[in-house]
Order: sequence, then structure tokens, then C-alpha cells
Amino acid sequence: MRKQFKENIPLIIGLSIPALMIVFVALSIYLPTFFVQPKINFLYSSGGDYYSASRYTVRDHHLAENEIRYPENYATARWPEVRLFVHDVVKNTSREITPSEAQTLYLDSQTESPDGFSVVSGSGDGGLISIFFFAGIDSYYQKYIKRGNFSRKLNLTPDVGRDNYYNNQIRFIGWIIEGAYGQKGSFPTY
Amino acid sequence: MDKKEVFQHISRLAQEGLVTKEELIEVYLEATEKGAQKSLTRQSRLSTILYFIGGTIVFLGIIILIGQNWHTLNDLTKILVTLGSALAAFYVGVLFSRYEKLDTVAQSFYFISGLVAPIGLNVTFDIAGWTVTGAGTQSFIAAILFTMYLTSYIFLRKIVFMIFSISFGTWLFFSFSTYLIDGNPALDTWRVAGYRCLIAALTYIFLGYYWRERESKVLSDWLYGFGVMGFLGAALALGGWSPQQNIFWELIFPGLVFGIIFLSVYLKNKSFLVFGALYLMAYIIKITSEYFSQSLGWPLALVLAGFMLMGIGYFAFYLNQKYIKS
Repeated sequence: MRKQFKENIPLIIGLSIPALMIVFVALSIYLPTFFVQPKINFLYSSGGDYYSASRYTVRDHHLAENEIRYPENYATARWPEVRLFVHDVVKNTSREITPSEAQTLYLDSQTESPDGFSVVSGSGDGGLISIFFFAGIDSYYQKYIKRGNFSRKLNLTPDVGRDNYYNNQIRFIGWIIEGAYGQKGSFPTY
Repeated sequence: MDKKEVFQHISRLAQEGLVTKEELIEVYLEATEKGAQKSLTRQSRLSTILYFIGGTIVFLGIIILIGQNWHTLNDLTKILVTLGSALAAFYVGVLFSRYEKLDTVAQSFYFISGLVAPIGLNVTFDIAGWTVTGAGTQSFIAAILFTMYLTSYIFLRKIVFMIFSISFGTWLFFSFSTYLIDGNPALDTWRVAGYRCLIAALTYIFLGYYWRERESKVLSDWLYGFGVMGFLGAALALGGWSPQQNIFWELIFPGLVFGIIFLSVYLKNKSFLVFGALYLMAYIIKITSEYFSQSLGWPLALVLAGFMLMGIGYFAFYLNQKYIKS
């Protein structure tokens, strides 16, 4: 029995190494989520087209709506209307709000929140062999909240996909510092 | 020594009673039998190669035929011509395996099955509504194929199943890790890809060592070759390029290369020596262009690198002659 085990050591080591790496990758991804939690919600817009990217901006820490100038004969009806959402980072859910509600919020337009998080796109990693089958490439169109080694996929509305890239649909506006959807979490009722 | 001298020598030995007629006949028969065996082995190797070339051409023919008629086929037919072909080829291989003389033909049918089966499963899952471009689906398909071919190897003990098991196992490793990573921006894409290649290549080396005295030395040699190439390639890539270099991997790389070259002597394997020498040359060229081209100037840096490459080439040749060839 011992002799058989000794003879099979290279096979055992050879098969253990990739298994251990999978475990290590899983731990490095999921372990930080137990110790790090984002706390500050953020406001984003969804829908529209390339020209409506600058429709909503932050001015003096409040939402400001800008006039959009379209080229002549441009078909604006082709694209979904621009809508505003507040994302609860604790529950990882979004809720639509009206522009007037959004204007009551105190916003920070910095890409990094006061607690060090930022909203980024996925890396679109397909891996070595998966690249040949285009596996994993759609993650580029996903949004993540990230700080250091911590990263979590965001469930934004609508579901992001390739349209996000071409139609520039999901646009981060600002972190909600104060207001009805402020720092400490759950949505109040309106 | 010409024929006349040989006969004179034999005649002298016979007169002195040192060799008998039976001994001479036995030696003659042994020599001619070995020659016939060698010729037979060469013939069977050639026919094996032809079987597998034929199998590859059959696979290409299937793919082209399906591709040209894809839009005219309904869903069921698409599954039948892809997955159905793979299963049919596998079954034919099992039937031929029952006859020892047709064993190589059976293996070529298993080969066709192994090439067509991934396409068949992708088509089936696509028609079933799964997102086949997703890493999750790819992992599932790879897991099915890996399990199927590993089980086939355990029961039927054909080396072609082990080759496919290793291939599908590698695919499973990469696709499942991609599924876990899921585009996570906290992980550096290229660094993670480098580490995955490193681990896969290291696994190949260990599997090659395990098989070196078992089923097939050829499989072991191929695993060693791909393993060493992947391992040193990944280690060199992980070193990066100035100013974003990784000091750890740049410093440890020479140690890894000399370790591989030392292993070539211990394992008496040429691919370790050849790839070790080649990657050492690549490392010298990389370091010279990264750190010395500005200070010494390109011409002097090239001269130094050239002399070092010559030294490495002679060192590899010396090791091969003294320790591996012997």
C-alpha cells in the first residue's frame, strides 16, 4: 500500500496543484467579501445614447440636468429614455427615482467614494483556452464595485451586456453622501 | 573488417572449438529476427501515423460538410451530425477494439470522436438555450468530456483517451478558473493568465514524470516538452518588462532555468535541456535590452549577449554529450 502510494506521488502532486490553485483563487475572491463591505450608495443613469451621456452631471454637489444638442435628422426615439437609479451597495439592488427626488441628494462626483470604493468595468478576462471559445468576454460589460483586493459584481438595472458598451447606457453620476438615500443603507419610503 | 576476414576468424574459432555450429545459427537467427521486428515496428508506426492523419482528415471533412450546410439543417439534425457523429465514432472504436489486429483503427475512431465531441456538446447546449460563450457552460462541457474520457481510459486503457483526458482537463481548469474570476477587476488579467499557465505546465511535468516508466514514453516526452515550454514561458512572462517588471520573477528565473537544465541530466530528457537553454538565451536577451542597452549602448550589449549565448549553446551541447546521450 505504501509502495503504491510512493509510486503515485507524482500523479497526486500533479493533480493537486491545479486543484489547490482553484481553491486559492476562490478564497482570494470570496474571502475579502467577509471582511470588507461598501457602505455608501451611488446614483447612476441608464438608457439614452452617445449624446445623452452628459445629460446629468453634478454641480455644487447636486444633480444638474443639461440641455442635449442632437445633430439634424437624428432619430432620438431609437434609444431608451434616460432614467435615474439609486444603487443600494449593501443589498446590491437598484431603485428608480425621479429627477426631482435625485436633486435633493448631496452628491460626491469623485470616482472614488469617501470609503475608498470605485465603480469599474469588468476585466473581460477569457482565460487562455476560453479565449478560443469567447468564454468570459462578456464580463467587460459588467460593472463592479472595487477596493483593493475586494471586488463585487453589481446588479444594475437594466441588465448590462454588450449594449452597455455600444450605447453607453450605464453612467455613474455620484456617491450619495446625504439625503434620503444616504449613507446608512435601506431605502426610505416616499 | 570485411567478409573474408570475418569468415577466416570464425573458421579459426571453430577449429579451436570455441564456437559450435548451433551457436552460430542461433546468433544468425536472432539478428535477422531483430531486423524483421525493427522493420515491422517501423511499418506499424507508419500505419499508425496514417490512421491518425486519416482521422484528422475525416474530422475536417465532417466540419466542412456541416459548415456548408448549417443553415439548411434543423436543430435535431444539427445535434445528430455533430454529437451523433462523435458517439457513433466512439461506438465503432469500441467494436473494432475487440479485434487485436484492428486496435490501431479503433484508436483512430476514438480520435475522431474526441475531436468532434466538443463541437457536438457546444451545438447541443446552444440549441438548448444555454450561453455557450459563458465560462460556466464551457466548464460544464469540459467537465463532461473530461469525465467521459478519463472513465474510458480507466476501463479501456487506450493512450488516446489519456491524451484527450489531459486536453479536456486543461480546458476544464482554465474555463472553471475563468468562471470563478468572472472578470473580477481586483485581479490582474495577464498576471492571473500567467499563473494559470505556470500551474498547468507544472502539472504536465509531474504527469510526464509519472508516465515515463509506464504506458507510453512518447506521452511522457510530449508532456515534458509542453510542460517545460509552458512553465519557463509563463515564468519569463511573469517577470514583466521594465518599468513594470516583477523583481521576484526576474530574479528567480535563472534559478528555475538551471533547475530545469539539471533535471535534464537527472531525467535524461533532451527537451528539458533544449528548452532550458533556449529560455536562458531569451532571458539574457530580455535582461540585456531591459537594463543594459541604455547604459552600455546597444552594440556592446549585443556583443556581450552574443558571447553569453555562445557559451550557453556550448554548455548545452557538452551536457547532452556527457550525461544525456550516454
